[in-house]
This record gives sequence, structure tokens and C-alpha cells, in this order.
Amino acid sequence: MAEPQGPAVSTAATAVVTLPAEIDMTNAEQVETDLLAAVASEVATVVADMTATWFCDVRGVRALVQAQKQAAASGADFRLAVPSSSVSRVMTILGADAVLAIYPGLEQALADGSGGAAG
Amino acid sequence: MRTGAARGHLGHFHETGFYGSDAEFRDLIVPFAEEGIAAGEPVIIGYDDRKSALLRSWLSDPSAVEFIADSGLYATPARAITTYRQLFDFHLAMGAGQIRIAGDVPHPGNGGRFDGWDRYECAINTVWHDVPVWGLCLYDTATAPAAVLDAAERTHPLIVSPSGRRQPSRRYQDVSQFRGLTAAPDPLEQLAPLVELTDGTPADARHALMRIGRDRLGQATLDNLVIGTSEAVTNALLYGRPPATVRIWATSDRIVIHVHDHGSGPANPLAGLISPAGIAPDAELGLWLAHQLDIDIALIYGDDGFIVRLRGGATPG
Repeated sequence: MAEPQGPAVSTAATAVVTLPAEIDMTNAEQVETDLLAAVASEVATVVADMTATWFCDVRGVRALVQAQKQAAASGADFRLAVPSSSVSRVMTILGADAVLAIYPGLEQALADGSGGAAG
Repeated sequence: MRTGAARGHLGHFHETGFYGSDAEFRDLIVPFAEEGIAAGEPVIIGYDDRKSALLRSWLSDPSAVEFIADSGLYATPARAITTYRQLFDFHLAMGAGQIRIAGDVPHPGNGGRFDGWDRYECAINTVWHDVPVWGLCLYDTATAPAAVLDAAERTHPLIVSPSGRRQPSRRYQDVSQFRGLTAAPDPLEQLAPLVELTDGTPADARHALMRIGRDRLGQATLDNLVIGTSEAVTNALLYGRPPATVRIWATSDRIVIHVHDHGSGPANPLAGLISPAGIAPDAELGLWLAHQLDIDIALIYGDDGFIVRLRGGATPG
């Protein structure tokens, strides 16, 4: 399983954190640590790039919601690029789609200037 | 303001009734529906085509009743609980004082499988404790097996007869006393599994399942099995007693998975069915997620531990 990577792209405005192919009990904590580090870097927007992520369990979704809470508390915009329908469905069943800004791809997540969720 | 027998009752007023003929079925369902219509209450019916057609022919104004055509309503127990809850929320927002529902859970007498539906009938005594629902669950004594009728008596606090007489069910068991039926064995379980993994990671189980399922199941079903199995393995590793073993059986068009550990399993007999509102422990949330997927899940408690059984694909022949 690929290890989570730190911010791959970081400008003054946006940090993109590339998430692993599979997120579960073995690496959800690391994902949360990486996302919180990006939020703490005081950029305006943090994008979790889940383009390569085809599996995310309850613990992974919990990590994403924690990052969203921290981002909201520090005034940052937190967005997810989630092309996998299986991953986004898990988020929907768990009700996390109500708090997470989920985009179908990285381009859309980066392009949205509204500061809000798609759809 | 609630009307009829449920007047003054708080929460779900959960009745069963037994009929042996269409005439007795009519005597039970028509007053229930007509009184609801007269009181302006939503009347929600989840019957199959034949029983819906019968009821329509008997009612003074069938258009006043909400017939749920969605065959997915009773796809799984957890889905039914969630779908009904959404319907209740809608009708309460519209100002309903009481909501009447009548539906048929699947059992061999109506062409379905009863596995897990005894837990559903028990669960809805508590999960709708905050909603003014009157649920009438009618069972056909000519077609329902004895074990199904037995479970109906144990999971409904009230029994109404075709003559309209109501009495408490003497055999009623609340959640703390309830003992669910043992899931019927799957024929594949007699054979050697294709894969057996002991104390592997959730990823090991996911990858094995995807390898086996790729040519056997549709993508959506396989995705559901992968999600459910991963949560079950995670729970077995973190909360069960080792060793945790995953066994996978398959035919050309269906897959059976056991996630077994040597612990005693969740203490709550309704584990997985209760919507974990707010901050639930991850174990409960994972099991609840697994139950929300359109796959068959059974929790099997045995002398040698606890098994989550997940099945997807064709119905066992």
C-alpha cells in the first residue's frame, strides 16, 4: 500500500495533499496528520487529492472530517477531489457529504473560486 | 394528535396480526387504512403487487394511500429502517400527527428470505421510539413458516385479530431479552474455502476478495462486499479475540465471506441496525455502514466465536 505523502504542491494560496490508494485502520492516522499539517501551514485552501484513492473506510472518513473541522476553525477552505464513486458513496452513507466539500476531480477542486462545496 | 388504538401512545405502536385467508386479511387491513384516511393521516403501504391490488379494490379512496412501489424498500433490514425513517421525517415535517404503515417483510412464504428480519422486527420497537408511528405487520399463516410466526409473536408487543380484538403478546421479548434466529447455513460453507487468511490485514482481505470477485460479480456488488468485509476485518482485529480468519467461498456468480474471530461479538443484539447518531465508536459505525450496503449480512454467534457473514451475487440455489 502506498504511504501517504505530504503536501505535493504548496503555494501561498493552496496546498494539495495527495492521499494514498487505500485508507483504512493502518494509515488513517497518518492521513489525518498530513492533512492537519497542511491546514496548520496557514494556506487559504487545502485540497485532499483522492484521485488515486479507490478505498476509504470509516476511519479514513473520520480523518477527513477531523481535517475539515480543523480547517473551518482556522478559516481555511478544505476540499476533496474524489473521482471514485465507491469512495464518495461511503461518505454519503456516513453523512459526511453534508460537511465535506467533495469534487469529482482535482481540476474542479482547484478551480472552484466560490469557497464552497460543489452541488 | 394520534387516533385509533394508538391514541395517547408515545413512539412506535407496533402490532402484528395473523390471517389465513384474503377475507381475514381484509378484516385486518381495511379498518386500519380507512380510519387513517378518515383522520387525514398518512397511510403507507409496502406490499407486493397482488396484495396492493387487493387492498386498492377494497378501499373507498385508494389514492389517499401511499403505496411504495420501490422493491428496494425491503432489500435489507437496515435499508428498510433508514428508508422508513426518511418517510417519517417528511410526513412529520408536513404536520402529520400519526403515520400508519403496513408492509410485508420477506420470508419464504412470500418468496423471500427471513434471515435478519427477526432482528428488524425487534429493532423497530426501539429505533422509532421518537416517532408517532402505528405499524401493522400482518403475517399469512397459510404461507409463513412456523419460525417466522414465532418470531412475529416475540417481536410485536401487541396482537390484533381479524375480529378487531387487541391483546398484548404474551411471548413478547424486548431488546434485552430478544434472541434472534440462527442464520440458515449456506451450502458453500460445507466446502473448502477458496481463500483462508489468518490475522491478515483488512487490505489482504480486500485484495483477495477483488481477485476472486472480478469475474464473478458486478462492480457495485463487489464494491459493497469489499467495503463490508474490510470493516468486519477491522473490527475483528481491533475488538475481537485472535486469531481472526477470513474465509472466502465462490461459485461462478456468487461469493460468501466469513470474518471469524474468537471473541463473543457485539453485545447489542441490534448491532449494525441502529443508526449511530452523533459520535459513535468506529466499531459500531463500521458495522452499521456494512449493513447499509445492498448485500446479505448475518451475524452468527457460536461456541467458537463470532462470525460476520457477507454474501453477494446470485441467491443460493
